[in-house]
Amino acid sequence: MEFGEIVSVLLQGAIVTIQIVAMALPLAVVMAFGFGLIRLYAPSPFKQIAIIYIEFFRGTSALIQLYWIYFVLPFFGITIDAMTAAVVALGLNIGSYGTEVVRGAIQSVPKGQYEASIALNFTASQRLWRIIMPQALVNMIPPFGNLAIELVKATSLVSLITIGDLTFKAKSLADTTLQVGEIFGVVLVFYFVIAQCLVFFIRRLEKHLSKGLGRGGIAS
Amino acid sequence: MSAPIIEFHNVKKCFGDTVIFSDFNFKVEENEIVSIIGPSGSGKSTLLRILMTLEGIDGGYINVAGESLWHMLWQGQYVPANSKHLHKMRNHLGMVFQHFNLFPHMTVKRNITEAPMRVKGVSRQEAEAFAEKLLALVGLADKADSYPNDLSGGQKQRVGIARALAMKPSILLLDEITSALDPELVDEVLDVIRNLVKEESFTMLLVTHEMYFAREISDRVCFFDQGAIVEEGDPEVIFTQPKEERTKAFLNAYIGQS
Repeated sequence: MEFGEIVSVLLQGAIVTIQIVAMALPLAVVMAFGFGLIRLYAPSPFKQIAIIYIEFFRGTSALIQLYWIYFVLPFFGITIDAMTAAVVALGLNIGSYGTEVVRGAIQSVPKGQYEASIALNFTASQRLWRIIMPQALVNMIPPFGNLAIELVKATSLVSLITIGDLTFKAKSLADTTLQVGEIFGVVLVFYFVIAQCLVFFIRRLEKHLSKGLGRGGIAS
Repeated sequence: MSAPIIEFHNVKKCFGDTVIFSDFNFKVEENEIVSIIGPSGSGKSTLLRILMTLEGIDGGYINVAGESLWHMLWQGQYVPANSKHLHKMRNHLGMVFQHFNLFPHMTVKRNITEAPMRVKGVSRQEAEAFAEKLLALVGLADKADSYPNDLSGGQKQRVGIARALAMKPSILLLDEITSALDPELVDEVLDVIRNLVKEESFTMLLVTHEMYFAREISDRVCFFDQGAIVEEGDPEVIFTQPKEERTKAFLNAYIGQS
């Protein structure tokens, strides 16, 4: 098989991979903020639910979670297509790590910031969204960047539930052509490029959000 | 004479097993400037933090402007205040912190205008005009668009004062506002307070280690030790003829240092 053909087949797979990332990442962010805030501020029963979610999805294998959602849930009458299963499993999995990122970042904002915002009589929600969150977001970006890259790499698992992602295409091409060196070389480059695009975007975001906070962070 | 603007009645405050105040009584009259001096850990800052609703109390009650701070009337009985009541009571109070606690993600101007706009619903135009006036008052008119991290400690604290004044509190609490500053920056901050009390009358409660400043600015000085007022009165009397041994010892230690 010619190199150009290999690249074009793998490119199709890469597009599927990017689609999964593009859908699972927002889900992970929503889960991270939702459960992160519940974990910090909600009444106890909700907190317990958040803890169960976090510990379950962090504490079990992402691949098994994927298998459950795709292969086991149909036995309980819940059938979802492979793409949805992939997005849900990866989104929930990465989101569970993200929850702790959100919580840690909010808690790392100095206590004096809460006190000043109470002294200025901001309401509880103004304190969170106008004072604490803008500073916490800056702390969240680097660990969220790591998680986004983790997500890109974890998408290769979806090849095991019949989705034609980058890894799936590479394996089937390798099985038929045996040109493993070229194929897996291109695959490495593709994953690397996808991850680097994310890194680039995350750096821009970090720079944008940290206006005024300086390099040393948030002391003042 | 009208009722005191601040009254503590048999206030109790503990941190775990440590008792800070056991039966604390204290009054401040309207437009009175009261300095609180005393050794570390004597409960000076806690007093201000309780007033600013940053710390709750474990007994007794406090009135601010004739209304209970930590309690509210509910069906004819006093019950612990809810957040709405605290929100209302905080309108009387403003605080300047030892470590400034400016919002680092906002420009100096926004640090000053954010609360008036969001909390009091003042228009942007009005809030910014007042912020400019306050910045001129603290000598930082040219720093409106800087971020806090680009300022010196003294400048940060002057912004901290302007930010508290922007809410037009009737009671200003100053919690060791020069303790985190290099010695050469202390006076630029104290000068702001000096000018402030010259131009307007304030009820001001300050915890300070700057004895000469306390002596010069206060109507009354309270010497605190172990959660109680050991001695209080006219600053000239306290600083020149203290009666209590503990006051003498504390002031001697200070004079010995400087």
